[in-house]
Amino acid sequence: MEFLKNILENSQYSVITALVLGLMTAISPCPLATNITAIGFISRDIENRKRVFINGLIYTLGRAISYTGIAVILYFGASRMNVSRFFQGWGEKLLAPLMIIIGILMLGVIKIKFPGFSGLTDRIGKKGNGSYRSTLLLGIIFALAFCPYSGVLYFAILIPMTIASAGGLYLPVVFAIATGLPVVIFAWLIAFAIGSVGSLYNHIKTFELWLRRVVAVLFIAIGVYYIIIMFL
Amino acid sequence: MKKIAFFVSILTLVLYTISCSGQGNQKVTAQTANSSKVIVYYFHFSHRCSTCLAVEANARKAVEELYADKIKSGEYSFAAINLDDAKSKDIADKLGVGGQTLLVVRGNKKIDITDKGFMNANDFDKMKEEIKSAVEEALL
Repeated sequence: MEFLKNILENSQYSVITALVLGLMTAISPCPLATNITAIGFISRDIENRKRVFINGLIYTLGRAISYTGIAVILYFGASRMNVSRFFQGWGEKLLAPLMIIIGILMLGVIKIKFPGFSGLTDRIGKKGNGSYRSTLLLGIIFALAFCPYSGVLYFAILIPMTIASAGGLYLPVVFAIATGLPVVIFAWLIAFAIGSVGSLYNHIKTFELWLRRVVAVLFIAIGVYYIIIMFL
Repeated sequence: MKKIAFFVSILTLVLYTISCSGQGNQKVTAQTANSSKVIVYYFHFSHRCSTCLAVEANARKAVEELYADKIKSGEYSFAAINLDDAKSKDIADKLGVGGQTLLVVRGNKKIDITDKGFMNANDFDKMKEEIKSAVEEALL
């Protein structure tokens, strides 16, 4: 972290600053819980490593949509105070129940269809066509759940640089790539490692089914963790 | 894809609604009472990270060390305010604060040092320097 701070202090170029801010967001302990869930979700198709990699890129694209969307709204004159208060105040609080609901639906204990979210809650073992769509939605939602530290990095440092001129509107995309990069790398490594072991023993299908169950439980566990730290 | 476009559109609409309601609040900021008192504010939410706690602790310590005499005489003060607390709404609206913020205020002057505060959260000497120069700027 100190190394990244040094780069940040000496950086002359805003693109480097955006990149470093994104990396600081990704590796800070604060959004670690959502990152772990995202890694699990992205690497759930271990049978197909290429798909895991594309999932990672789509997840990052989802994050870029959220970060750029907020920046564009602020660029066109929206009140930074209200937008920032809404996301920093509610992002994490709404995330907890949402993660528990997604986890329960993924496990298939309760069958409820939510319009627009059907892809996110695809039941375990079911290979929905909405897989990429669900990954994109996850990226969009997780980026909006600002935790205390990432909220400051985004709203207090990146946004002023971004909305200073129209030319800065690409910076949230760079920031999103940096926040998604460690997640993509880890997801791919997990898929590579488990995939290799799985194919060695010819049990890749079983591995995949169990990985999906683990991911569903992970969603619930991390949702509960957030409820404990936020409300208790 | 249609569903995602729908989701993004709804989100944009919500954002515009909340942001437009805030336009009036910024005008209030300019009408802040003129006062010679220097206040260093640290705004936060109930859930805080370790860096956030360090920002408050070091900023408070820095203000207390730098301006001990003026704090005693009531000219300077440090205030930590929880934005989740309903009572904080008036002051947050008045100062245009929407999230975690480290702010030096004197009358109508507001010096936002959130970025510097968070970058130097654990470096007390640098925090002290940043607060000192922000206070000097507010006094100009």
